[in-house]
Order: sequence, then structure tokens, then C-alpha cells
Amino acid sequence: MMKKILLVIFSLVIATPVGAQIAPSSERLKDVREGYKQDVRDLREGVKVETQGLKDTLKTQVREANMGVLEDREAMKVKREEAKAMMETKREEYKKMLDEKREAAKKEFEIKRTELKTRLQAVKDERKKQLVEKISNQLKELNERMMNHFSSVLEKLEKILAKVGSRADKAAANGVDVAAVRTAITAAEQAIAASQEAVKAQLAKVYVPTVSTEDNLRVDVGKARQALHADLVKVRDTVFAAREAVRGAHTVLAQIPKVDELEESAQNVESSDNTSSNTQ
Amino acid sequence: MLWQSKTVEEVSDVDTAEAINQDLNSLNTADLDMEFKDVDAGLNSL
Repeated sequence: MMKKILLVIFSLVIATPVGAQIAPSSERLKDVREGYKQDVRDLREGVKVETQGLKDTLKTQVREANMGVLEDREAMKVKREEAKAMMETKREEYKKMLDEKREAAKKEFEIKRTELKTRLQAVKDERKKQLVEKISNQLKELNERMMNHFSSVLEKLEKILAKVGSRADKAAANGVDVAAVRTAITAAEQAIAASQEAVKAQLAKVYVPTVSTEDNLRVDVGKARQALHADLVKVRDTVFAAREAVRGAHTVLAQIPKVDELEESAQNVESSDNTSSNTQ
Repeated sequence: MLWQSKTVEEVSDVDTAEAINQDLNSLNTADLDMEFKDVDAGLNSL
């Protein structure tokens, strides 16, 4: 029994300080572990905050860049709309001028037709008389129709050239040097304007034959026919020149690598903004 | 009246190089000698 009591006392004397020493050490370990855990938490939080800050900055920068692109695109659109409106106004004015020329030519034709009728009174062959008048009318109608046709072709050329300009604007918005295209466009505009002037002048002309004698009818009427043909060739050549000038502008434009894709590249900026918004 | 059947094609709104090329190729500038066919026929019978 005594032995047991001594063993308990010994255990209390020895084991209690040892136990007291072990307990604080375990607490410290726990504290250190907690400390590390907190540090990791703080670090994570810091990285999270920093990443969010970077994301926000990047997003703002992308948005600002996109705003710039959108503003440029908007300005380009406005510019194109203005150019289109101006072209429409010019076209209307041109059509009015053509109407005036057409009216003036009609009056002059009526005067010359009366003169022709008077001269034809000396011709005995009624069939020939009527034929000369018919050809005279045909020449008048042919000139007018051809001028309307050439005028229509020139209008189409203007529209095509506007498309070359619009595509060049898109290329320029993507940082492409389009100076050569602009030069070619200016040359084409001048060629179209020159051809329009030729059409306007031609529309004012009349081709009524000046008949001399009955025997000379074919020659006299032939002269009027040749005069109209020669003049129409001249006007047609100006239309050809305008067409080739527009084709030239198009050729310069088509030499720009992937020119048809340039607009889409600019539009992709918008989608990249949306993508960055979704990364939150 | 010959040219009247040869109408000028409308220009599309597409501004790609390919579309522009098609627009240019579809332009009809008319055959003058053909347009004078009726006049010449009458002239020959004078």
C-alpha cells in the first residue's frame, strides 16, 4: 500500500511539471499553425484584391479603347452618310440640268424640223420625204436615249466608286495606308465629272439633216447620221475612261491584303469587350 | 430601241472588292453600231 502511495506521489511530482511543459508547446504549435493559416488567408485575399484591381483596370482600358474605335466608326459612318447625301444632291442638280438641256434641244429640233419640212416640199417622192423625216426623228431619239443610258451608267459608276471609298475608309480605320486608293478615287471622280459634262453638252445637240436636192437625199441624211455617230463615239469614250478610272481605283484597293476582312477585325473589338466582361 | 433591253444592273450595297468587281463587270456601255441599225436600214432605202 505504502508502495502505491509513494508511486502516486512520485508520479505527481515528476509527471505534473512534464505535463505542464508539454501543454504550452502544443498550444504554441497550434498558434503558429493558426498564424500561418491566417497569413495564407491574408495572402490569398491580397492576391484576390490585386487581381480584381488589375481586371478592373484592364476592363476599363479595353472599354476606353473600344469607345475610341466606336467613336471612330461612328464618325466614319457620319462621314459616309454626308457624302451620300451630297452625292444625291449633286445628282438631282445634274438631272435638272439635263432636263433643261433636253428641253432646249426639243425646241431647237422643232425649229429645224419645220425648216426640213419646207425644204422637203421640193422632193416629189413621198416615200422618201417621209423616210427622211422618220430618220431625222430616229436620230433625235437615239441621241436622247444614248445620253440617258450613259447618264445612268455614270450614276452607277458613282455608286461603285462610293463603295470603293467606303471600303478604303474601313481599311484606313484598321491602320492601313490608303493614300494610293484616295488618289485613284480622285482621278475617277474627275473622269466621271468630265463624262457627265460631255453627256450634258451632247444632249443639247440636234441632228436634223440639211437637204439640198432629191438626188442628194441619201448623202445629206448620211451626213447627219455620221455626225451623230462620231459625237456619240466621243461621249462613249469618256464613259469608258470613267469606267476604267473607277476600275483603276478598285484595282488599287484590291491590292490591300485581306481588304474585305478589315471591317470584321474592327468589329471583333466589341466582342473582346464582352468576353472580358464575362471573366469576372 | 435596241439599248432599252440592255438595262444597267443595279449596284448592290455590298462593298467588298469582289462585289465591286461584279458591279463593274455588269455595266453595259452599249454597242453603238447596233443602235444605228434601224437608222442605217432607212438610209439605205433612200
